[in-house]
Amino acid sequence: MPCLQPDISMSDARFQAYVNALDGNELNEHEIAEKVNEAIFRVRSALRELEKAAYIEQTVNGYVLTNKATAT
Amino acid sequence: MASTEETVTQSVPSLPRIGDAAPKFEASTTHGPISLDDYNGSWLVLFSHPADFTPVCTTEFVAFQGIYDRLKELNTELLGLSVDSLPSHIAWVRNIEEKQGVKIEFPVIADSSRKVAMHYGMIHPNESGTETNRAVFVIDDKQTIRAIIYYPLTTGRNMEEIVRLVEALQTTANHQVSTPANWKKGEKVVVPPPQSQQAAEERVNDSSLEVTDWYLSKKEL
Repeated sequence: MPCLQPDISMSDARFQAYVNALDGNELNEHEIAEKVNEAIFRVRSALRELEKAAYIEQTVNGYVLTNKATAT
Repeated sequence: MASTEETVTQSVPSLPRIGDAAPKFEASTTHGPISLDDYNGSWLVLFSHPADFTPVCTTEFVAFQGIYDRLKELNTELLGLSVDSLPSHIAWVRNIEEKQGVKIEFPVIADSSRKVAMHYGMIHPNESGTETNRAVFVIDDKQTIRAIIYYPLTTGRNMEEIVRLVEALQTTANHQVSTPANWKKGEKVVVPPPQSQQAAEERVNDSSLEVTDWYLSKKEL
């Protein structure tokens, strides 16, 4: 089965973990790392990729989901 | 006036040295795209290996995985690199897990363009013009190179030495001391030698230190 998000390299399960972590939440990278249980370097890499693909956007205090992410 | 002569200059990046800022990169890895900046705040052991699916490298990967948890306890991450492709890396780490039961948990850069390898001086043309050698760069939490090790293609690295090196570098960073030959964590460290004649006289009478002579003194941390 093709990846549901062809514009990013992360797996569907990992993508969903990030969406779940940020669903209704504005979190910084350390809070996200705790929620998804990943090392900070992996979180930064994932956030950069998700932001580039417009699934999340950076705010003053952290990151939030975009409409594109909530529509998936 | 247009010149009829062409000057071709070959750009050879200078090799990074201890104390230099680690060269920046963003690269494809087995964990997705990773940049050096992603490691800011953590120490990093960046190492290269000659090629996937080769015997010495396979023993090294299993051994690197064996020290990964200890490195993480030292706020230190591991990042591998070779000029093999991403599919090759993925196939190799899957093969290691299948044949040896060891899951490789650290990312591996697929540096097919050799861009990162060239910036870090991991290819030594007189040894091999196509493969990276066994380089190790210890990069601190502010992204400065703190140590460099090079091993030839034929010699697998000693993982205990890599852990010991990180522990020694962090001890120096945290306590402004040096570490003597064969030092291991928990052993006495070397205090900086005095910088004046009077300080030297005071040093030899300092009962809080193990003083061999004014220029060589050790203490417990």
